[in-house]
Amino acid sequence: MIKLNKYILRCRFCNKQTGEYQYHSDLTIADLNIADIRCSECELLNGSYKEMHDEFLRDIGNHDEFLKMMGKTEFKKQNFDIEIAKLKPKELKIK
Amino acid sequence: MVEEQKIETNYTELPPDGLNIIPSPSGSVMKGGAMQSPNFVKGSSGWQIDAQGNAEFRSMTLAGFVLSSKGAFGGNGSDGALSITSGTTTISAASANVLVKNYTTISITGSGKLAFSNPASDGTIIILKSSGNTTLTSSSATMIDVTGMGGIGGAAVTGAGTNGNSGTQGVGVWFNTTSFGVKGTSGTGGAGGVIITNKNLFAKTTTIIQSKVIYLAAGSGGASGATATVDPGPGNTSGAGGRGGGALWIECAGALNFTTGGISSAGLVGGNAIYTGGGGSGGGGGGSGGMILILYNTLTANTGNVTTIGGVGGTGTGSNSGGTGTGGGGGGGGGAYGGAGGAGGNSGNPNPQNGGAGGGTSAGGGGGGGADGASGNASTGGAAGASDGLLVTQNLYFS
Repeated sequence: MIKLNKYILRCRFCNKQTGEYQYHSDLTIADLNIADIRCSECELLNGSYKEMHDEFLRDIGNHDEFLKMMGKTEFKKQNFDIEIAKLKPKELKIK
Repeated sequence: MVEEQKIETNYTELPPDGLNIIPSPSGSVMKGGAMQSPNFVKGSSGWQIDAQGNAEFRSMTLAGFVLSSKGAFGGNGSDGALSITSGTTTISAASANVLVKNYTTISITGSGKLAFSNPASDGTIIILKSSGNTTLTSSSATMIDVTGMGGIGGAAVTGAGTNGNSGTQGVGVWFNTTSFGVKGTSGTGGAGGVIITNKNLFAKTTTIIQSKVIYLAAGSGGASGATATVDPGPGNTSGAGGRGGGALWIECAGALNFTTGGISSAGLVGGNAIYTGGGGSGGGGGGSGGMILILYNTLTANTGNVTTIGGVGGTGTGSNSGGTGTGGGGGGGGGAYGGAGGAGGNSGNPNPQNGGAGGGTSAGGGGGGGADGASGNASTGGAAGASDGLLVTQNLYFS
């Protein structure tokens, strides 16, 4: 009988289960290409991974630099915003 | 003669008890049941040949031709079963132009969401195959999110009188090469990306799909705006172009149950220009939406929402410089599948410079242009183009 591995999808912050992935045993976790998992509550609190990714690539840098930024900001939007503000030009008020 | 009577006995001779394979002059004969590998599971693993004439193999090489379920409609299920009930699971496209997933079933229910990140610079075509059912009943408005997975937008620029950068053409855009938003220059808004030439060849109608050729295109990127020639400040920054939406193709060999929430391949909004003390700068053009195709063998429900809209253009800045130079033009919106796109935003005065309009129905709006004069006001980016280039229909064409 075919062997399936079960990978429980869990929020990176609170470990809550958000789903599951039954994959063939000849695959590895890396083959699943999962970049991030966050539950609805933690997404409200810490922001959307994809939206941070989109903003970073549009205004700041490339994907590898984004991953470094995620490590630095613990994948949290509130920390991300602080770091991004340091990299963007300071906006002045038009008189 | 005795010898003649022994000829042509065929296989009427009873086999020894317990044997299913009976020797006969014309070959071995299966009495009943089936012959199979130890790991045989119907539809999943191993092989089987039964006495009724049915056979199942995982793959086969026949006269040099490799027969594999990978090419079958709905795929071979090699990536297993995906089930998301809440939160967001984001899958990386690993910078590939085409990402293929072969699921046995896809289930996104409750409030779950499946998003994608890290596309190729010119975008990614995402192909989700399901050899079984596809259940999409999540309440999430974007339960499958391929927004911003298209061609990259032009990068923002700084300094006085700097031209913007054009967007990048979305992958799968054939026949023409200027569907991306064109860069704004100091004094002129960039042109919007053009509509795909020969757009009727793309997979929007069953008339096209019956020919068994599928053309899908990701959205193209919008361009960035330019900065004004008057810049006594530390250097104004224009708005970056918005990224196009990715293309999505779902093959469901089982039943499709799509209700409540939605699927989106929208283009991203263009960036706003940032005023840092000089002349005005143009906003970025929005990215265009990517195409979506969903084919199913049987249908349970199809009441969900599919969106392929373009991104809104970014806002240009006004000016406090009092100079007389030209304003920074806004970037053009990305083009895609359909007809006319959103117009560029009106800019402030004096000497306003509008962004270029988006090029397609699902294109993004052009970015707002900047102003250079003392009373120049911020200018709003163009509106997003409407959805187009999508199709959800029964598969009558692929096996």
